[in-house]
Amino acid sequence: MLKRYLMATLMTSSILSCVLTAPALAADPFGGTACQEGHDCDVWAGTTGQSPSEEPNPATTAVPKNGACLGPDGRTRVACVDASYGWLGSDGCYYKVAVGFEPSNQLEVAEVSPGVAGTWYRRTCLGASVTTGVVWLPDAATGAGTAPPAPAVVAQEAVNKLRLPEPRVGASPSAEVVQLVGVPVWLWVAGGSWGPVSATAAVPGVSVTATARPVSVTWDFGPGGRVVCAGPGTPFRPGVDDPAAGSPDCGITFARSSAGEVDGRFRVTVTVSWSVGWAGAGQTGVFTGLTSQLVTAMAVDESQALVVAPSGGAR
Amino acid sequence: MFEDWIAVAATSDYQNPRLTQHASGDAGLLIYKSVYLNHADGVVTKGSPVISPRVTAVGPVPERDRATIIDCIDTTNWLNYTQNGDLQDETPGGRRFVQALVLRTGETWKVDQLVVQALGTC
Repeated sequence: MLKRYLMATLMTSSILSCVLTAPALAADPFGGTACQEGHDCDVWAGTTGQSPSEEPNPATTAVPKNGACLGPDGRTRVACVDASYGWLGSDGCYYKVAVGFEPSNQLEVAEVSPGVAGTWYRRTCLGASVTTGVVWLPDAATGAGTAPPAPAVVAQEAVNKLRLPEPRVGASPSAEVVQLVGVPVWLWVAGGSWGPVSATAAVPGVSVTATARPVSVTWDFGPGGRVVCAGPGTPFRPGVDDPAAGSPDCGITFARSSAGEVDGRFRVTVTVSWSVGWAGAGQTGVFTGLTSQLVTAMAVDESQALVVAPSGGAR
Repeated sequence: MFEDWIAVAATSDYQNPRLTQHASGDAGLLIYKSVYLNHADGVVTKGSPVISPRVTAVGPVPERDRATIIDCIDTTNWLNYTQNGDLQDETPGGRRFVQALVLRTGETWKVDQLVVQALGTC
């Protein structure tokens, strides 16, 4: 027996001295769960088994420096968030919520701290090879940092994904023709570019939808004047609306011509202001300051022949 | 133990109690997680590995209720496939050095610790 034991010891010792190769993720079922250097790889002699390995404690997400996260070597720039792998932890591994994972009773006993709120994560360590695993982490360790990120952070991503339409504008008389001093001009933003727009951003464990709604539109004609309308304005209906009357809610009557401007036209900046609300992960919030803009030009002439004085006589 | 793993991995049914029939402790947790990861990835494992286990230590006397087993498992024909029947990726299987600690309770031996080394380690 003793002789056999010694042989086993010698055999395992020689194995210990082997240099492990570092292949990529394999398609066999061991895949990334096989041990990697320095982690759960201890072989043993005799029948003692391996000593318990210390699990790295990711505790918090990696803190970006100058907007970038660094890999395990401390130099290579890596993604702070990876679409497939999740959030980078301070241990250099990525974490994402292990969706649908139901631990066995044995797993609960072995890894969950009793009475502590926590979450099962899928951990992916990228290195010379890829290892994956499932670990339980207390929420207190991850929630105080940014992993999973606060909903407000994800909301900002959702807002960044919003594609606000450029305002399509209408005017009557048409913006293509020369406007006349003293004649009311109806202004409006076409319906297709005036309506709610939504975008969703999701990271493991947090999904937030941001919805932008147009609130007001500012028509800035430079020296020609400035109008702020609380809504999109009302399209002029030929044959129905009175061209001599002003728009009920969004219009301008020019008091001066654009003759002195560049190209003889007023530069027109149409700015739609949006209110953005977001909701997700049980929280809500509001972003302000989002705008969409269109720049165009409009010519205004002081055509005395067509400007009718109240007395009816030509000026 | 491997027969259980092979059978359960064929459907990636990670909660199948069969996984605990011949595995316990850290080995049981490792297998459970491993099959879950395949389940989460939507892949199943087809085929079977070539195994040739050898007992390298038994003890301690007088109980002899612990043993160390080593193996050089060949996974060339035990690979993950997607729902479409395609291989999960083009990485071939290969030989992995495996060491297991098995514990006896009554007449039942269970694998309690399992160390699976990288491809090409034996």
